[in-house]
Amino acid sequence: MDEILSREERLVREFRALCSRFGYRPYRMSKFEEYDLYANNRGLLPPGGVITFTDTNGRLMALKPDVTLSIARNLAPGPGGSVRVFYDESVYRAPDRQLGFQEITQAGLEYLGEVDAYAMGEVVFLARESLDAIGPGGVLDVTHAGFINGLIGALGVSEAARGELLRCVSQRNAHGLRAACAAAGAAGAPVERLCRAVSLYGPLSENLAALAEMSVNSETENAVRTLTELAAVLRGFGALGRVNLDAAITSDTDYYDGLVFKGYIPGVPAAVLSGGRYDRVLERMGRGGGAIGFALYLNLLERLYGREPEEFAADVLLLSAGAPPEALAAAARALAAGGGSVLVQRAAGSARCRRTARLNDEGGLEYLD
Amino acid sequence: MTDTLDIALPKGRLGEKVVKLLGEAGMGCELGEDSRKLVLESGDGSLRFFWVKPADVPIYVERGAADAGVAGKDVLLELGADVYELLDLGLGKCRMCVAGSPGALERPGVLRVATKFVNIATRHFQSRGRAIDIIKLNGSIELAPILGLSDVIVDIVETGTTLRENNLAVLEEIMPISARLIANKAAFRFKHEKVEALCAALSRIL
Repeated sequence: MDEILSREERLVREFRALCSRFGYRPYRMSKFEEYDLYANNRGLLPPGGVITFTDTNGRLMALKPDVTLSIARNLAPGPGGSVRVFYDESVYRAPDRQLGFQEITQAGLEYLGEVDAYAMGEVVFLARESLDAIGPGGVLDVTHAGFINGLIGALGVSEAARGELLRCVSQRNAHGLRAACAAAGAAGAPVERLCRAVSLYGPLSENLAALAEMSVNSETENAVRTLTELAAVLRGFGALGRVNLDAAITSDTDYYDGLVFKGYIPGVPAAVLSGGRYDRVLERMGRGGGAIGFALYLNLLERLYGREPEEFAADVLLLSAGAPPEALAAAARALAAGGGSVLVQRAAGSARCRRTARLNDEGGLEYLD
Repeated sequence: MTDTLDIALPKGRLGEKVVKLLGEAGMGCELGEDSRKLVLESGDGSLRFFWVKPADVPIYVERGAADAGVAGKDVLLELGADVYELLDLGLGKCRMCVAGSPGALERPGVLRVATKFVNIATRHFQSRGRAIDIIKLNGSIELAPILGLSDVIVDIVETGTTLRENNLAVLEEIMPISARLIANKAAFRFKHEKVEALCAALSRIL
């Protein structure tokens, strides 16, 4: 049956199986959501606008630009419990204004509840395994947003200057950081420490010590502690050697506020996986608790897959010209019941089938090739 | 994906300076000024260079057609490409400026701004809370205020000679500009050692 699935469908099936093995349940949702959810949480949305329409009952609705916000609003764990769900859905937004709105297909998982070290490690491990499901050679990078935030906090610069500094961090732009720090009145060892952190990249296990050495305050200490705990869980999963530390990862939105991670696949020029902690989203919705999840951008994989190989329309093309319909029906039924597939039509036309047959005078199959 | 590091170089004067710099860093190849080849490889095959229009370098790199490249800060800011900016090469130094007749900025009402750099100009005047009308031009920007098409221009100023010859002056400096070494975010990971080696070699001579 595998041959009737596209590569994307096969990947989604593998992703579903992977999540199910760790107690995650499928979650289906409507394509529409009340626009209020997005109007009240603009800072949490990825860039690209929202398609809105007025429903028949007068309510202003939106085609989902994002999945996580909906899940965070609609699902809540019971006391001491957790919600573990996975999905594959389309979202609609315009990441490039010139191209207009696009349908973006993504698969992902969300964990809502108390996010302890195990839960964090489990989600990162599943992200790593999801990359492996796409193909060999993928890279998963993690960091804790608190580390860079702590280092910037130690500079004592104004809130206005932070934006420019974070932009330079996301570009690994050390010369830009030095210039922005100088303009904001910061200089010396704290600036050089920040530049060093931005250039830090490599296996998580080998770089934790360097990160700890650069820690300057409680925020950076908390970040190092969290990453150390994560490393221990990943070691238990046997995945520590396949995860890198990249202190320069920043989030495009206000979504992720603790652990952040991104995944890359050879042949795709941008991150195909993005995830992290989003406790702040729940907080903004007036709820407590923790949350962590990730999304896999399936639409980015199209280029990697290239064209699907040309498939056969059916195993047998049964030519119907001149044959009695009842005998055709019996032959078609027998072919389909035997596990093969059959296409019945008057002439071959452009249909590609493995074999071509017609009915003989006794109503039996006569193969023509 | 090959092991070769693909580097997009800007055609023209800046590109020639970059080739010289790469040669000094021991990472160049025979990229003669008169070379009509679009793609060239270093002797050991570890680096492959190709010439593209300067404004296209960030696009080649962002989209992964090149792993790394050299682009002016003006082009990077204008396009807002999602790439790593790893080094300031210090080449092609100039300034992005607001220029016009003395006093043109004090003109009341909506300021008419002629420029090739629409995004940079818009961001600059927005940050100052100034209402503007943007006039996008593709060349001979200095002509716009002379003919009354605009009040000011936003453009790159190298020596200021062209401005002076046309009775225009720099009214504001927006930012210094120079050539930057950029890298694709995925290539940075999958060809990390090669990208780091390129950075290190260039850093040593800057």
